[in-house]
Amino acid sequence: MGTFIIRATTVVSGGTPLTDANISFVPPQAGWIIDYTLSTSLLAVINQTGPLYPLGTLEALDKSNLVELDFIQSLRLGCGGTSIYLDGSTDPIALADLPKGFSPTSAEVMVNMGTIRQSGGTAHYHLQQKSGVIGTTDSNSFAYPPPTASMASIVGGGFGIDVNLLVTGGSNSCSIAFNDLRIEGIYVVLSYGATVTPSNPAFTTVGDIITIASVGPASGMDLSHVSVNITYLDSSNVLQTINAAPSIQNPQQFVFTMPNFTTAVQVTVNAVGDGTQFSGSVALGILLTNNFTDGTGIYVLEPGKTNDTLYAQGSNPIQTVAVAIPNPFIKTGFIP
Amino acid sequence: MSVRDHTGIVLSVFNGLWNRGDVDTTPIDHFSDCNNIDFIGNSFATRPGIDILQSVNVPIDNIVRIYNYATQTANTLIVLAIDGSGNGNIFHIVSPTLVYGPILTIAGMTDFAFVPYAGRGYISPFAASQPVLNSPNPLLATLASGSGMGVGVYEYAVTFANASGETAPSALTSITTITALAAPIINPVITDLGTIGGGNALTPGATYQWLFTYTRSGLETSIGVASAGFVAPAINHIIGLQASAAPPSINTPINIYRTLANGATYYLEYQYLGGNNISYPGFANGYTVVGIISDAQLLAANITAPSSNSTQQQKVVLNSIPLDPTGLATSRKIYRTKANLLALLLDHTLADNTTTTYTDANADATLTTAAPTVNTLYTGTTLIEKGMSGQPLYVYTGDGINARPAAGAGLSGTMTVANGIGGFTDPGQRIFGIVSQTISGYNSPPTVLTPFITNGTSVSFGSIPTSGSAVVVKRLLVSTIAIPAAQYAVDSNLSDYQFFFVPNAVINNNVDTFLNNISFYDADLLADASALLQNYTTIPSGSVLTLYHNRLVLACTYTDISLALVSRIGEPEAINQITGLIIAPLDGNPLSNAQEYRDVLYLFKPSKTLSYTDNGQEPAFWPLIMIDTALGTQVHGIATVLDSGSSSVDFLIVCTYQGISLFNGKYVVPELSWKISAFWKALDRTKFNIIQAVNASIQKEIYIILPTRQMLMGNYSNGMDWKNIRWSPWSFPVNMNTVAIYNIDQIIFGANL
Repeated sequence: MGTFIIRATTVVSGGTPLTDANISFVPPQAGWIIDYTLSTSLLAVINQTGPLYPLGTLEALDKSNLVELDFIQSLRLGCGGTSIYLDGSTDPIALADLPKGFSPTSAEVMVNMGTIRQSGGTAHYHLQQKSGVIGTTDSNSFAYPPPTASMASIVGGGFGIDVNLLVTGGSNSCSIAFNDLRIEGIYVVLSYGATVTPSNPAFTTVGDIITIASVGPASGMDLSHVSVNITYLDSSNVLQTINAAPSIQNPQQFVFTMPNFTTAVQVTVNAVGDGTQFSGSVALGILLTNNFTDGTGIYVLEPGKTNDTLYAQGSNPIQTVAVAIPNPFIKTGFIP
Repeated sequence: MSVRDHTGIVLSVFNGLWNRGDVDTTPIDHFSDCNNIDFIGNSFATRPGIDILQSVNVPIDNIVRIYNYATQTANTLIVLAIDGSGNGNIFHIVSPTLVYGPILTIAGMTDFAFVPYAGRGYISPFAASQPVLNSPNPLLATLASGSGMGVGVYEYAVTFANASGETAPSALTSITTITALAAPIINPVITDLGTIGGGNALTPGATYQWLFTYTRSGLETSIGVASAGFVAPAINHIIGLQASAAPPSINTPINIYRTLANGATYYLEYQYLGGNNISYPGFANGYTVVGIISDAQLLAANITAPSSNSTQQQKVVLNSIPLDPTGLATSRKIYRTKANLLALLLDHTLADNTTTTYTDANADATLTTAAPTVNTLYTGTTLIEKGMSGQPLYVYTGDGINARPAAGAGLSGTMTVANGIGGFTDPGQRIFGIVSQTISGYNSPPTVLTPFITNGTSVSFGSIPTSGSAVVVKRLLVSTIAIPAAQYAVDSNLSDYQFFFVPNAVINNNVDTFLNNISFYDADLLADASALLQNYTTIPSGSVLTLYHNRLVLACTYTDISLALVSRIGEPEAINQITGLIIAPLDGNPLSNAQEYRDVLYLFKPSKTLSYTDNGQEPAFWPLIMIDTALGTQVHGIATVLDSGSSSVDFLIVCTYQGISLFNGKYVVPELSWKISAFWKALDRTKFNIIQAVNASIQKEIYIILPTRQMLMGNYSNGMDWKNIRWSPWSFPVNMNTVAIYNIDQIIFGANL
């Protein structure tokens, strides 16, 4: 069990990169700004005073003499790239670098409130999980409902905050200041396993029937609550993902037909939990495809070894294939 | 006899494959067929499996050749792999997790020969090529009078050609064409010198005129301006001639022509070899006496003045154009550069194999077709493993730095020489030079040759050139002994003299440019450096490399498949181009292997074995003994034992067309593979170059890569003779191409596609 924090790395909507010309004061560091009508601006500033303590500020100022200004705006943030801090680490990692079997057991969007200034107006805010999922008014935390969504879903959905600032007359103003808008949670690393058949050294090809087997949810992976995908690096070294459609799916078995993997030499079979038993992606095995044709390389004769182990040139990282020693036999001479 | 009474036959000894004659003749203790069997005691089991050697993310693939490479500190591997573009890449595998390279990449390299020497590795790239007709010898070229070509330096070469191909060009022949020499602009001035002794043979009262021409290389200009008419005086008068001004060169022959009495035709009266024989105003000699040859004598000689200028030499006569002695060539192509340029272009085609002369007057602009760079005139279809065209022998230092060409040219440039302060030398004319030394100990030929007369004091040198090559680590001063002045006067070719290393005159870096106050006597000059002048500066690659008596032996170069190059003792990059050569008897087959055994150098052809013995003289004088005129081997056909060469327990294991034989100075009969002679003789002989053998002394097994890309294993734990050795073919799920022994007893295989 451990803790994780997800922090924003991009603005998805509601903001543009902050420039000095658009703000009434110069924030110490970069952030975002949301322009609004006339001279009223809503500022969203990430004040990065340290690697762990970004400061978020939303501020609405009525700089006009309008009678009433009702300002509603959302800021949505993305968490792509290295956005996840595990167990208090100061070095963020990406989703793909999470430990196999990583499964969040709880998560919530959180913010540390700074100030809400209400001078002739009202200021309220709502935390957001994925787009359209809004928390309680003026609450500093917004927990994901159980079962906790997968880490991929949490990271992919991003998070945000919306504000509602209402000023009713000239010289009135209100603002909201807060810091460290983030997602916090607790995770476990599941050790549920399943086996993929065929496995090495057999080679797979398009149309092969692939069977994933488990002992079931009591002590193994619950295959009725997973989806399966095939990942591989394409010729441009870009990770590609193909979802595998099950022909049979129950707690003990997930059977699918090998989809087209183009020219990949190796593919990885992954189980993606739906959160019932675990979330996230677990690699179940690596299959060498029928595009593996190059076993060349340098070998050493190993006394006592009962099979031949070959390189699968072209796989990355390099894979090996265990094959039987070809056709050992003897024929005796004629025995009278 | 009932089954109950049958006496069982106990098979307790298994002596491996028997494959000769009818299968029914297989002895009961042998296998009529087998595969992937290893022998344990008197029994057998499935052969051991193979495992990957490299534990790296991107292991080397498509392996063609592996050699054991013992460096100063470790036992490592040198590996050739072919990439998808057909480039041969050589890697140095230091450990399963550490790979250097590629340390050498050569397009078209399909194999290489390798020997370690003093921690360094010598690499000779080679490839399989069809045999080709040798390029012609160079032709001869002489200038001819006339126009057509430009003016400047021209290089000529010739090729043999027929409908199927053309050789590479011959060595170059250089010649410089010259423009016409202008007719004299000076004219004779004739003076009656009166009666001062002597006289003339002219007709008194008759009018005469004189004029000049010049001669160059036997060719004469047109006539110059004639003298004013001169009325001959009495015959006791001396008639003097002066030129109106100085001739253009004291070295230009000048001719004096004269009319007959009152005549208009000019006849040759005198010819002077140089302008300094002609008097002209201010010249101390005063006058040249003329008119002492009578008109009748001139008429008798009848040499009249030329009507035109014939000194223009912008034509070239080509002589001794080589004929193809084999008759394979049906034409020969003459290539020429444009004036002062380097690219050879087609000049003329002689559409026969008989013509030996051609006069070239072609303008540069008419030349367009480039000369071939690769010899495509094949004399046969059988592929021959030989050195690559244009590729040298390489040296690798074992540290991951790219291999570089072995040997190398000397320094270029000039240096200054001056008498030093104090010290001593033997006074006299001498020639100094500089020898550069590389990090691998190779001494270049002496260059920067500079004549200087020492006065008895020490000598100082400045502006000594440095090398642009980072591998040059030393520069050494060389000198002749004092040269007698008379000898130097008649032979000023600086490289004609014998050079010696000057003791203690060494710059131990490639930075400093001076050597000050060097003292030595001629008696101190003991270490000869002249032999360096005859060394290869670029050693051609070959398909054979070995060591013999601490000499490097390289054989079967691209241009000469019967040639072996042998280095000096302890200097593997110093190969004398005259005395370091061994030419095996020519029979159309290449030298394919070489091995020292019992102090004798054995050279192998695919079906011939020769020996040369170091008799203390230079390699060219080593005596040849023909060992076997039927048995030989291919480029990897002698079993390697670790990195120590190829002999173990005082024999060689040689893969011949006949079979696998023990060689102890002669081939032992019956051959080691006698029991499987049918198996061996069924192998594709055209692919015997694939065969590579190693002798694992610890396991007492021989491993031989076969033309089928599989393997033959011979276990000799019961005895190394035809009867007791036990054979088994081994097959693998990949195509094995090479085998080596690593770390004493690890058997390493290389597989390619």
